[in-house]
Amino acid sequence: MSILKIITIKDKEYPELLKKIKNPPKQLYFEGNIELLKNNIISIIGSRACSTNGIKLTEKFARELVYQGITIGSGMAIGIDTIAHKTTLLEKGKTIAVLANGLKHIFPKENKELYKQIIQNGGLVITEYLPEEKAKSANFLERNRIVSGIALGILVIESAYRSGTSVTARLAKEQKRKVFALPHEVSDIHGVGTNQLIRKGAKIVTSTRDIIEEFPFLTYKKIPEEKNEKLNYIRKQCNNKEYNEIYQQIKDEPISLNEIYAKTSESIEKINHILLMLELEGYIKKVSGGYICILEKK
Amino acid sequence: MNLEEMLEVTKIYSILGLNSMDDPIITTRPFRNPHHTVTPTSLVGGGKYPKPGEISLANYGILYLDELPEFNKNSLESLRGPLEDRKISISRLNTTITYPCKFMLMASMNPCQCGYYGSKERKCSCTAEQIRKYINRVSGPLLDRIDIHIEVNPIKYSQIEKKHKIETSKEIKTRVNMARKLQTERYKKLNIFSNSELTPQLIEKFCIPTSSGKKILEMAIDKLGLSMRAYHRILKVARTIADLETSEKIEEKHLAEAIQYRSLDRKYWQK
Repeated sequence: MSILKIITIKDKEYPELLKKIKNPPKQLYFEGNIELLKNNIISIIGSRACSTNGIKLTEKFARELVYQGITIGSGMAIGIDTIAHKTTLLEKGKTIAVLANGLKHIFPKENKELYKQIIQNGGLVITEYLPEEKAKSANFLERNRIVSGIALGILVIESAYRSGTSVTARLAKEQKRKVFALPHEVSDIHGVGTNQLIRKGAKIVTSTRDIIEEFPFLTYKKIPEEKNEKLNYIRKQCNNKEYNEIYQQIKDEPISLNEIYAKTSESIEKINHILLMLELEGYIKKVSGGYICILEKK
Repeated sequence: MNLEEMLEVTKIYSILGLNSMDDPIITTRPFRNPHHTVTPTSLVGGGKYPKPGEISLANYGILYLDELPEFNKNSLESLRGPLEDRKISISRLNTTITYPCKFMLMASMNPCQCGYYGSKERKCSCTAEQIRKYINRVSGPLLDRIDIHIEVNPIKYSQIEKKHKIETSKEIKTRVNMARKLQTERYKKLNIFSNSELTPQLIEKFCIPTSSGKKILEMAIDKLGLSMRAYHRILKVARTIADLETSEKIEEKHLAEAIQYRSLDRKYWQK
């Protein structure tokens, strides 16, 4: 921590992509594996005030992009950024965080732990600011040009009307980076920004394939449908006949006790009992709105 | 209510002069539903010469708090002690008074600010942070003291299926009365009326689960991370469920149901 690591625009570690932007940072202070800047990077960005659906989508895209061998960049802000970093770490991928403050004043404070984890897991944290510098609002907008500058393209998960995210998207366009945006329902307040981006010519994206295909030097690796395989595997394990009738009803989407009751011939007491056993044995999980099937291995 | 209960409730109401001239004795269980702007003092009682608050007025009855997270934090936290002790001591300069408050707490709340979190019909427009903040307005220690949490999903008219026979309120009433009678009979010598009044020592005496039931409870406490208080409360609820079936033993299914009712302890609103 104490040794100040720095690269300047003249160093050979300094990424070519970043050199070509309008006002590249003259120096970068960093912590972690600087070689990551040479990888194929996609930056995932989105609102700090994200919706639960946004979290789900971030997890999906981060996971799948890691599977394609992409390094995930982001800004380590709360919300979408944090989820993107965390998911990447969870999937044992490489991630780069671009900060708007010095390395001695990690912002937001909640992410101090994340900062350590990124470095421990072979990730990279960079900033153009001196270690003593504290975060201030102007820095964030400045920082955003680096988030898009180091990347091949940016993926906008969620953004409200007039937000930091839309600024990054504008910068990315100026830097001739690819801008990918997820479509949202017209009335969804979390999607006003992304829909606007799409209208202005950002590429509409519904799967990881859409992103990878945009770059001729990348090839899309088919993602095995392990989800279903896992599901079948777990289902086979649960071979108790009574349990199975209930268990078959529980899928990815939450299902409530009443719905299960309406669909099966068991009594409420019996269903309750079985649901508890299934939960204790780690087959299902209680979430808001009912029960879902756990897909991770036990 | 039995005579002792009626007299106790009537005494409290007569302090405030709330009983009517024609019908001075209160014979039905009280139901109090204070608005969420209620102050801690009016909820638990107080004043220069301490008067009983809403919790004492709900003695042997129900205190219903609608829109639980909208209540003042101090008001909610002031309920913690009374919920455990079933009485409240109010100390003022002039005097210290202890009022009984053996009420049943009922509360309802939305899952989030917009009310649609977890709904399939409409999308929730709250952010993850907003949802967390909303839920956190009801503190963990208070939740820990609530025995039964039930999530109610919106239901469409077409979904009301008549495949199963539905128990009517009338049938349920007879069942509840029977369980109540069973309990009064059981605790006759102890000067208490219901399972809810059992102390930890009495729980060990009256709420003994079967061996398979015990196993399930152990597993649940371990896996779902329930507190010791939750453990005792689950046993009491399981005792009641068994009473409703007029079963002397607390079986595995009774415990399983009681555990299922503690859904909010499992932090399922967080990811």
